[in-house]
Amino acid sequence: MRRDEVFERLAPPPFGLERLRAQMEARRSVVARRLVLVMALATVVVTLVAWPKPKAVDLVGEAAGLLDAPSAVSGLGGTAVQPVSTENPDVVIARVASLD
Amino acid sequence: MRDEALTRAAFEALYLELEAPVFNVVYRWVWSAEEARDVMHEAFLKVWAARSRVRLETARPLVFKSALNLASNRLRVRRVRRFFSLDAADGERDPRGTPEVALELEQRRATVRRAVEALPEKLRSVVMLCEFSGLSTDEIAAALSIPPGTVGSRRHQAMSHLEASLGPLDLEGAGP
Repeated sequence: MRRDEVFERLAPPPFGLERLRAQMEARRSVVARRLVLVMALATVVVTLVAWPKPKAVDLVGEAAGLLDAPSAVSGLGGTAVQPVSTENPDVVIARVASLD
Repeated sequence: MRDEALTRAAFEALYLELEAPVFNVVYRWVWSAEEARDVMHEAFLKVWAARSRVRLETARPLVFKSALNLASNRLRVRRVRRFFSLDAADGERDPRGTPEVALELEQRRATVRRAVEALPEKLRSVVMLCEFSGLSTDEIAAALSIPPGTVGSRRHQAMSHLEASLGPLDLEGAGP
């Protein structure tokens, strides 16, 4: 058999370069779309992480503020009563401690 | 032209230079013109995607290396699909000439194909690159990640295999 029959040189299908160019453009737009998607996701993540969180309510501190005045403590036996000031005059609050 | 970055213009010139050689090499793996073109384009796109790391002087062996890897993978997938009968047997008919000429051509091509397919891949890749690529022995060695001396010995082995299948090869019809 002739050698050029064994290694026959075939012509590639036509318009190879045009097709390759089209594939390159298609791939570039896919890359651009992926980039936009990644940037959008990154923006969302950063926003969520950096978003200012509401401060936790300091119930103990607020309550301590109400117990400001060391007002008179009246005692009877092993029990002590300390009036606590309130904003409402119709409301009376007192702290009561007992040793019994 | 040496030691240059792979620009778009250089890449397209490289494609025009290597289109036929790469196509002919890949065709001996997939035996379908359309599929060979797809594999070839995939190889070029891979090289283009890696252009920041590719120098023009190393691009030619790289294109062949990438094309051979892709063709080999494609063949492996096809074998698996055929094993599970997902693909029919492939092959292309040549529409040229009279029915007699076409039949003779088809029979000759089928004989050559059987002989080439019977070659182990490592021999086939060497002999096809030697015949079609236009690469130097050193470039073929680089493309296949083998020592240059191995290129010569594998080529000799491959030709012996082919002659055993097809009879003596007439050098009158030798290519360039």
